[in-house]
Amino acid sequence: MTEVFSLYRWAIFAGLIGAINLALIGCHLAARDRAMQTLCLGQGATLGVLIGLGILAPLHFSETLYHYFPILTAFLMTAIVYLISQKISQKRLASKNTFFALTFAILLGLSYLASSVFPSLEVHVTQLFFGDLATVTDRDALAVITLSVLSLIALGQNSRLFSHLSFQIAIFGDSILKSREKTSDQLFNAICLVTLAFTIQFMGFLFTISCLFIPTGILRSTKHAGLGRHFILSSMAAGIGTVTGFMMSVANGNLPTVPTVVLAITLVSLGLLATEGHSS
Amino acid sequence: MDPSLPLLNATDLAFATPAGLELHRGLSFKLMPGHILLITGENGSGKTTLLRLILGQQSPTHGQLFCRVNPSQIAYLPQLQNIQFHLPATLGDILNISRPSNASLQETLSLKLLTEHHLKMPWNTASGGERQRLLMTRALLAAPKLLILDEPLNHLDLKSKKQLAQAFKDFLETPNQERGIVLVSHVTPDELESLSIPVTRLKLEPVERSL
Repeated sequence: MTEVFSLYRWAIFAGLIGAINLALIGCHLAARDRAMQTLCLGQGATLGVLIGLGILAPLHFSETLYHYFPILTAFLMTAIVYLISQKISQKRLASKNTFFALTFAILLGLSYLASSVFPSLEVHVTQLFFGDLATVTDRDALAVITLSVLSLIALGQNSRLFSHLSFQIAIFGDSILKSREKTSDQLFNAICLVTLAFTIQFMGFLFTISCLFIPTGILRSTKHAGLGRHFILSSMAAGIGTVTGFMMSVANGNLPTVPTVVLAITLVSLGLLATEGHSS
Repeated sequence: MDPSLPLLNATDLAFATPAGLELHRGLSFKLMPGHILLITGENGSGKTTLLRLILGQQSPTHGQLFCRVNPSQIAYLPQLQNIQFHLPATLGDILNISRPSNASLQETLSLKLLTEHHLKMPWNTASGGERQRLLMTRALLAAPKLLILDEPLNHLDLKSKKQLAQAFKDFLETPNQERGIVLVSHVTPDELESLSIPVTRLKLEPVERSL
């Protein structure tokens, strides 16, 4: 076990920090009822990565560029999807979820199409959707750790402000925000977009979405209310679940890492909910 | 601020819905410091649109609306939709994340809208009236010059309405502060009169349109 830990230490640490960061962002996104929009943004990032890889593949650029250019295209694609979806959301459609569902379907179709246009990407499609934490290189792990630590610092320093904005948006809508609050909201959105672009490129779509929404979705109904408590519990569930799932997967070669991590996060979240008590 | 000057002064005002449907014309009113401007009217009479004008979110189609209060000193409490919040926050959490950091527990309780017991209560299980009292407390703790409230009496029982009216009176009578309240309500609250709060009434009648 020590050998395994030594071999994958950076990947495990990246998974742990990345999961905690995603879980905290997920609390705010869920509070703002943006889960469906985030699915679209995640799919936009996936398409962006595929486009980035597809453009570079025949050009034989350096490995570094091949590795990091897709983050840029993922970020651009996510930003485009975000701007369009925000514009539509502000029109106060009767059913925003219908719009998000159709956007997701289109982006999913385009992603598959991109992998067909650039045949060398087929292996990347599976990797992008389901991920494999065991194949994350030390360099990529360090990139995720750096990004996640920066994001956690920003989230920590603005914790009260972001929570206030989440409450205002959830109860009264975006239009209530004052101009200074709108600027702060843009900071939060920028953190989300960059995090999505990074984690989807290196950890995959399934890991990203699971860490964002499983802990907060399950733990919102704990018996004892409290914002700080919820943030801590959600982070714990994501972090413990990721490390446990990863170790289980490595110990048993038949278990793929990310699906095992997803199962572990779910079980840890349910365990914490049982320990804390359900609000019924 | 000069107490003889109105906080709000509207002259020959005309305004329409965002879609361009005219709601009112020739409307004039003033809000003096220490007063409540009570805007009443039927559903669809343009009460919320008028609030948007006061908040500077929309422009009049004719006339002038002058607001002497800096936008940063205006607190606006929209109509409570009474919906659940995904995060399991207590009422105390919500005050803590939004009130000015120098407001103490004693100041919060001194408004007499909430008790210590309320602060531990989860938002999601609090009643509409308790939520409304929390939001009012939050608005009052921000110590604005102008308080704009859209249907603040909804969800409140008689006792809570009286407590709120007293909080309005204390807010308006704070020494050396020129403050005013704009209050939208579909009913005329009797509690304001019983406390002798000066009220300027503005009843919005829908514009007659030929079919």
